[in-house]
Amino acid sequence: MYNERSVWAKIVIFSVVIILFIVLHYINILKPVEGLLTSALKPLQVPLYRFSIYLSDSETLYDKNELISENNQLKQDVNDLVKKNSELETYIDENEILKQQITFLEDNQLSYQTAKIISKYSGSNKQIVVINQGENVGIKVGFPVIAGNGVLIGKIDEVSANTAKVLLITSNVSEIAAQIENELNTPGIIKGKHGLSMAMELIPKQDEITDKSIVITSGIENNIPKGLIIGQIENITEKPGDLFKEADIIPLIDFSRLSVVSIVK
Amino acid sequence: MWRRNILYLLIFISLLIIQTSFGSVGLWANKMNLVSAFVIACMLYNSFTYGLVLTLISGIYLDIYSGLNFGLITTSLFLAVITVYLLAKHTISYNSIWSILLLIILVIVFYNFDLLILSYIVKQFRFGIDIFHIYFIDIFWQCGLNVMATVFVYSIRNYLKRHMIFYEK
Repeated sequence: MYNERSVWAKIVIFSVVIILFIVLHYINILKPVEGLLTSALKPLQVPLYRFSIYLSDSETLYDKNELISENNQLKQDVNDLVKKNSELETYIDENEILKQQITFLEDNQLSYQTAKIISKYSGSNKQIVVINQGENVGIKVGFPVIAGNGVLIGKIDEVSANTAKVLLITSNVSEIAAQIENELNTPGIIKGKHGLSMAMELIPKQDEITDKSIVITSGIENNIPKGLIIGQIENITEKPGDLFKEADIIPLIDFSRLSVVSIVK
Repeated sequence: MWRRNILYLLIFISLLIIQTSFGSVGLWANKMNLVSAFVIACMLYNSFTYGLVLTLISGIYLDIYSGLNFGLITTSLFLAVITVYLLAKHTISYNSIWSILLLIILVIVFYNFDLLILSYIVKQFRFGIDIFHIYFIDIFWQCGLNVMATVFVYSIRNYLKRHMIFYEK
């Protein structure tokens, strides 16, 4: 192919050329040639560079997909934890509510059955919650249902073997015999108002009543003991010529957040 | 003959342009494809002189676009090519893909080794940059891409030969 001398001669020649190029570069003589070369090839390099960026983006896209997947997993984990936390908070709330109810019921020596709310219904005249106890545990129509520290929320409206419907006292069709906690034990009838609040009607005009007074059950109604809290007087209306006064009653608990109740038997 | 020269020169220049358009480190670093191209060109032409010319062109071109000191790549490539040529000139069969792949690997190893040493020497004179810590990051990519490039160019060469394109009967 080549003889040894020829090969080494070429190696020496090319070495000298390379050294020459390096020297020329550092003394800036080669710069115009380099500039010309880079300018000439720029039109080809621009699209290629863009292509390389595209490839790099593809790599990044892979990373992004990984991140998105990880993010979704973390979101799922967070959701699970929030759900578990919510369940725990619910248990704590329910426990607290039950403690209050049991304390109240035992203090008043009332027989009771606890139940969980499993469903809600809200119609034009009726606001109903469904509980997970029924006839099998002795629940009957008309029994009062309380929540919290003896706050009346409604009466049993319908009952089946294992469930019962509770008509909330804020329903339009709900009527409860009540009295105001004052010296006169002023009587009246509590009627629901559109599922939001209540009104106390048939309050004797001569009785002096004040705002913020507590209204309780009067005990004259069958199955409903005296002393269950209904609400608080908010606004008293007295019309000239009427025999009775009327007052708005604000519930003492949020009916939309009920979870555990007790049925007084 | 001149048509073959032009064809391989075009392939070679294309590889140069592609190399400098891509990054210098990582998956898409193709710098050593040039070495492959050079070695293959040498073998296809069976011409040491032509190989040295290609070494000079590619080295200078790469040095222009390189972040290293000018001349480092050209010198490293030149040294690697000479070393491999002297080591393999009596043993390599230019018609065997395995021999060519072995040659490619040898060139890669020598090129990287030479560049490392030269960079270190330049650094001692306080005007070089320290590349040691990033040096081996892309060597596996280089090997992989070079093998691919070798197979590609070898296939073209065989295709041309099989169809007697540019080859004298």
